[in-house]
Amino acid sequence: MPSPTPEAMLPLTPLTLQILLAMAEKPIHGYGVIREVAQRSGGKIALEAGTLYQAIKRLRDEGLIDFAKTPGGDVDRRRRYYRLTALGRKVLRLESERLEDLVALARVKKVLPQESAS
Amino acid sequence: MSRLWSYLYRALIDLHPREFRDLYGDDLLQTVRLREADRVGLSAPARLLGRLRELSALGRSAVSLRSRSKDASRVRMKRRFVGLSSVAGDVGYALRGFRLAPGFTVIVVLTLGLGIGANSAIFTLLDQLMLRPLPVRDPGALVSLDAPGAWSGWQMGDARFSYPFYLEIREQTDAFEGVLARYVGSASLEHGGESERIDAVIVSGNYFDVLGVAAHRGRLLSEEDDALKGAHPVVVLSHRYWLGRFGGDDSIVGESVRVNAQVMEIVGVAAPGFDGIEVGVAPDLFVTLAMKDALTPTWDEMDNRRTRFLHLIARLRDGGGEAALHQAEAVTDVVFREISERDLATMTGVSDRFLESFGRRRLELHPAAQGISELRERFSTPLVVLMGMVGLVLLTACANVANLLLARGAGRHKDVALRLALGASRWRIVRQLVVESVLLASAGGVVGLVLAVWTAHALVGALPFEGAAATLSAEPDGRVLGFTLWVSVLTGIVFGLTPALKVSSPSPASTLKDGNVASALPQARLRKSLVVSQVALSLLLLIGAALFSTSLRNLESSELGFRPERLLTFSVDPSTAGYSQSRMATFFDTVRTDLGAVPGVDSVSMAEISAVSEDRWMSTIQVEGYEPTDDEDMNPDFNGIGPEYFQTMGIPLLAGREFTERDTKDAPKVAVVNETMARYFFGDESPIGRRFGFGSRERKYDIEIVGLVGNSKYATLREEPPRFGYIPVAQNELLSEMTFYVRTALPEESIVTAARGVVREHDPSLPIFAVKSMRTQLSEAMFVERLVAALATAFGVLASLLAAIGLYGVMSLTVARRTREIGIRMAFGARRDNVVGLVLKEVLSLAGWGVIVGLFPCIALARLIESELFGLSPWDPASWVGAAALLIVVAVLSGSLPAIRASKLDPIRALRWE
Repeated sequence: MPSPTPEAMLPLTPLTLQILLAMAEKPIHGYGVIREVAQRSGGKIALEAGTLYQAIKRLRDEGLIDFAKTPGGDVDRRRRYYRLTALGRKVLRLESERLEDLVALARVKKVLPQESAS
Repeated sequence: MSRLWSYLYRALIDLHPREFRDLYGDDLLQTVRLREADRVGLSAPARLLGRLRELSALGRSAVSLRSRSKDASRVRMKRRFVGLSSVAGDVGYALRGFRLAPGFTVIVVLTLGLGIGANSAIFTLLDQLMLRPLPVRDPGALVSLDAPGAWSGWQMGDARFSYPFYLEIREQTDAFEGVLARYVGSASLEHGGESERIDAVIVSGNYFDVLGVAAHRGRLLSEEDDALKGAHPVVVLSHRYWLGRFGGDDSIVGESVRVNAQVMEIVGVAAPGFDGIEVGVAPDLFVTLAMKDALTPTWDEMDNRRTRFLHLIARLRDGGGEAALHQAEAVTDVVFREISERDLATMTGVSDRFLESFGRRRLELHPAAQGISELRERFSTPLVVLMGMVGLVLLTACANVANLLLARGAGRHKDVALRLALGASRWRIVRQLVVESVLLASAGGVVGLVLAVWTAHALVGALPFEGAAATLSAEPDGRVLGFTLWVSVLTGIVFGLTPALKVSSPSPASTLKDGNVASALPQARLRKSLVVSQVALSLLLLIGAALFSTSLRNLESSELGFRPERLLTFSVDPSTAGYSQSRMATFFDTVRTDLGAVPGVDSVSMAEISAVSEDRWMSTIQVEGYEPTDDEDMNPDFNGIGPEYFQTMGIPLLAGREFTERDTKDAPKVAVVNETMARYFFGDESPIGRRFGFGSRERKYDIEIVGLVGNSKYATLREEPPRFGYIPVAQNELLSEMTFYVRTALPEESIVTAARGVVREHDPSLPIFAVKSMRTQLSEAMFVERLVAALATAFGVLASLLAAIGLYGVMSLTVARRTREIGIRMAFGARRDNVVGLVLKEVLSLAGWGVIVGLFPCIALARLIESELFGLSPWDPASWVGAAALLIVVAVLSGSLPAIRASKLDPIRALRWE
């Protein structure tokens, strides 16, 4: 089965988006994803390990993320690092653009205040 | 606690498909552990919530990944609707069903959780006290030796063997691979300038060899250590004490400690988990019998055939089993008789009756795979009763859940009928429904396990026995987990199978045609019989609760004979610090005098046997002018007491005088007796001025009775006041442990520090122990009764509540079913109260049947617990009638809501109702 185009993968679920964002800057391990998501959402999103790894498996099967080399050459098999693949990065960018368009639309419709022209 | 959770996490991770586990399993576990570490600082409820969410996420992920991995090869439609060909599919289907009915799911899981949790908690205790084998090599081959029957001599507790007996039985029979002897004592252990009171087990050199226990550090005791009296001052620490006192420090092996007055070398640490052979006794130290003098400086008795202070445990040569045991009994019989002959030769002046009874003694062997335990004897009946009770609670919970499932099943008839029509076999549908119940029960099991750990913690923590809390653990181990799993699955099948068979039985054609509630009619009878059985079970539990509570109240209000309020007690034992008899006497006197000078102290006294702590001292006496018959029991209880004892305790002095400072060692010997003793020996005459003497042979009446006091409780609260005599501490020859009593106008706690200060001032190295108020002492003495009464009441209330819910459910259904009929009645002029009466009549008939059915098992219950009750008969009418009445009231209350609803029906609409 040929993998679908990046566009066909949109929109992403909020959970997927959070996970991909957590991996955007640098490779990160599972526990790090949970912490970052919790911190960024001010503790509002409590991601359970079971949910996360189910998603990690799916994202890796879909080719959006992959295992990464552990920083510092540490090859501890028990603590894996994950990174975005090229496809994953592209999907994340497309999704962000889509959201940006939506936000712009919200401003035009005066749902959100107009950005001050600075 | 965390062991349980990490076990559960791992179990759930293991449920994920293999290809997932290979790639992510270790990583996932690691992440879960880090998250668990994050939860350390949280409050207990928050921690629990987090853990449950984690478990549920893992469970969902396992199920979803599993079902997805099978999806590829199957057609979704077929699998979901008709086929459901794999159990994993059944699981997925069930989980979807639960998500659609969260209220139902939560109620069922909680109901089952309560039931299963109560069972696991009681099992945790029951298992450790009664079922779990000792952590030794082949425990099945261990037997304990016993020789009940007549004996003339000194005996400590339930020990039945003298040291000479031990040496001879071990030499002269080859029925055993080995025989070990042990005695439990306490000592003061000093290391690094700090001394504390510890429990020491004094054992034969082959103790560890016979048991097959390994050393954790260093070496254990050997035959060589035990060969020559006093030659090898070595000790082995228990693993628990090593961790607790020395922080698991390896370098402690080889160091010296002072045990009482003797410097001894620590040569090793016993294997972890090994706490000796007695459940509920937590030894800190093991010492050989050759060093016994250091541990028991006040008595030797090693060569005395008539002093029985040892417990013997043997390992059978050919392994365990009934047959091997009886064979060993037969083999040892001859040797036992020979030894008994030699024992008898040392007893003079015994009666013919005694000889006959002595001749009937046999050496008995009892299986000792679980060790020996006085705690077990005390607890086994209450624990078995409690285990039975929680079993009944679980049954009631099952009946409730079955009822809920039936109600739910009624709504699913169409669904089931459709699947049957499409060709699903009945077996397949039953299986799916049973999978659903087992899943519910398993979730209930997880909730139950959490509840069980909490409950067991609370129970073990509340145990007032020193040592018991240390050796009993509330941690669920593999056995408890296994038990919970087994109960959960069994529960699921018990409550799930009947509804499953019922629900899957409709004829597809008729159900599909109309599918209204009428098709649920056949279930009504089943639901009613479930409710009847719930009422019956609740009656059983409520009667039990009423009996146990009344018994406890009787015990609490029983006449003590002394005033327990504002009375502090504590004990010291200077004999462990090598004090001579005269130095001890002086020490006790000074402590007593100094305590009396502490501000807030009204009076102080002391006694050798502490009150209501199950200790007793019996001695044979001869009374002047009283001729005993041949086999008359001439062994009243005694206690050695200090001056002002009766004033301090608040025991009324009826005639004569108390002991005073003038009743010294050299003064004429005196005694005070209680009413029972006076009446027994002197009838209605005054005992003052009468004389008696200790011993059975020589008639030497050297003690004069100078006082008569009221009866009071001595060893236990349950006893009838025995014949009891008091003698002055100063005139007793063998002093060791002493309990002080301080009567104060202040709260007891406020003088504890002062009391400790007084003892420390005279000897800073002497540990003081058992510091407590008399109120605490009494409540500890009633611990078993309080525990059983509280749990029985809780279980009774729980079961009644469940029965009430069940009754409410059934009556609601009945009212719904009879809507039309009620409408017709009202249309023909029935008043609202007639309708209420109609419904309540049915409620009463259900409850009535429940009570009648319940009476039969209650008779069995009454017989079982007869010996546990104090001051009331198990047929106590108030308890029986009260429990039944309470149940009827509960039934009427739970039935009144549906009844009122029925009476408010609008007849016109009711008639139209389909």
